[in-house]
Amino acid sequence: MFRPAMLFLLAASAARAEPPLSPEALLRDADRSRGGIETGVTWTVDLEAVEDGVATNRTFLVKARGTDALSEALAPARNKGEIMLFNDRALWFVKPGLRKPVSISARQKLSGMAANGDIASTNYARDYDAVLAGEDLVDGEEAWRLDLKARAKNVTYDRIRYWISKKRRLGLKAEFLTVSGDLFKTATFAYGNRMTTGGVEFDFVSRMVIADAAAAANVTTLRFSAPKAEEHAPSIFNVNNLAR
Amino acid sequence: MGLAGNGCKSVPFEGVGVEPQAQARILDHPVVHATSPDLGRPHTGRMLAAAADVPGAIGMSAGLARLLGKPKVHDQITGSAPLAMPDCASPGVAAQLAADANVQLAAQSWTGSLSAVDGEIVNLFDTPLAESQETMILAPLATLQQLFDTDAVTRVAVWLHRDEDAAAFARDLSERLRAAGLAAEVRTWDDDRVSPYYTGTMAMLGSVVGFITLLVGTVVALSVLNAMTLTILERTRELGTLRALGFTRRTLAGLFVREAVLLGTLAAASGLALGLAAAACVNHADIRLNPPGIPGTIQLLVHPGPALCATLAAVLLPVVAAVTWLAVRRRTRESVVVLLTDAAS
Repeated sequence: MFRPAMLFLLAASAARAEPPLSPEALLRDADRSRGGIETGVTWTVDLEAVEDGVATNRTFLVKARGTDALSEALAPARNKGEIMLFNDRALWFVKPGLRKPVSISARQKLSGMAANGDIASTNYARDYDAVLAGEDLVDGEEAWRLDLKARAKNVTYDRIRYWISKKRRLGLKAEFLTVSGDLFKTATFAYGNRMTTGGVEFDFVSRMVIADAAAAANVTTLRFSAPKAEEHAPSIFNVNNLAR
Repeated sequence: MGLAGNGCKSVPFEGVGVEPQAQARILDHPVVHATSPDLGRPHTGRMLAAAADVPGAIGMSAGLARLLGKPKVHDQITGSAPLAMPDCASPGVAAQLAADANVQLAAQSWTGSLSAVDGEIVNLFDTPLAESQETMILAPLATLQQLFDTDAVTRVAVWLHRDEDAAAFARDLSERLRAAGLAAEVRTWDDDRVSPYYTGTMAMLGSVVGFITLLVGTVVALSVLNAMTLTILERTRELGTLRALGFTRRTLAGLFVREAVLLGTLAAASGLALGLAAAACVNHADIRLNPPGIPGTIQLLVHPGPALCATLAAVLLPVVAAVTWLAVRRRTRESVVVLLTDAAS
């Protein structure tokens, strides 16, 4: 006589259970707040690198759309007009006067501890295979820990240990590892910006602090400001239009 | 170090910046022409010093040019089609890349930012090592200084009239620079920190040649001893007659030693003449070698130096005199009767 009641309880419990957690969905959510947005978006990055006691400052205007991004140097004056174009995973560099763009690597050092791939939009969901590796507290906030492995050789990092907030679904911290698993730099993220696309308002990255694992004094800070949704013509992401 | 790009892909390069006119003067020096005519010369195109009219002129190792799909130099490009970005995904991309001699050089500048300059390939060359054949670029110093955003240089090379002056000059220059408050290191051309491959190779070749010289010297000494022993055996009765006439053993030994030294001098002179003639024939024949680990070929050149010839002659004549004296001394110890009745002569 208890059988129908037990079946009812089991059915109710199944209905309440959370759907299985998908690392890819977590990454997509975290990517959105770091520029991985299908529609057009524009922001400014102020980069301050302190390396071996010497500080350098640079400013970039970044325009992104889907898997493409275009970063234009605004300061210092000697670098003004230099452009880095991200076409999917390919990266091109061109400066005023250069007759053709030159293919460079996203892994190449941009300034201080920042690689070229750090300033433009983040597409970890596209570039990495993710495995849910555990749960940790990051600055008192509960977070999922994901192990990311590069899907291709031309992405910015080989392996990343990435913490995503359980509540906010934002990337809180990252440890960048070599192929052999050695830690070589860490990054923390803050989300002081707000942004709206498609009628949805969400947190947007405002600061990324990258520290050298071998020399704690070598720190590079990227400050992201003035993010706004903006339509960009596909032609600005066409490498042929960069040639003189 | 940096990246050389062709509009489709980039590959690493190692660049050397030179003053084109100074490089041309050095390579045109008679000593360089005589001893290493291939040194630093491109096999295709013109030297940097002759390409001042080409903006961004650079020389490129043949292997690197192959990797970048740039088989032609500036002078071999016909027509004046405007530069276009190649369609890297198209099957005809190789022809598009080969249609110009333009490349881009990118590198991290000394100020820490990414920099790039245009390069126009005006010559192709082979490097001295297979390891560098796919990486080397030779460019005017000003081009690389622009790329690396600096007015500094890694080193200044001083070419002396006589290489043997290098050590003394280095000491003097070092003291002067120190007195002027400049923290510069001065190193000579044979310092293994400057050219470890050269000094290591020459040390190994020196050991091999030294051992061969020892073997050849021993063979020469034994040959002379053998020849003089046979000569004296054949002339035993002559020795007996001279001894009977009152010649002392010492006088006889002196006679034979002087004769041997005279013959040795004539042999050395004729050998030297024959050797120089053979060397001239070898040099004239333009025999090309393809040594292991070296891209391209080098010309086999034989240049016997005057110092080497004089040293060999100076060693040869005492050896001839000594072995002759040994051979004569043994025979003249016999009595006059034995010498006169010797059946061998």
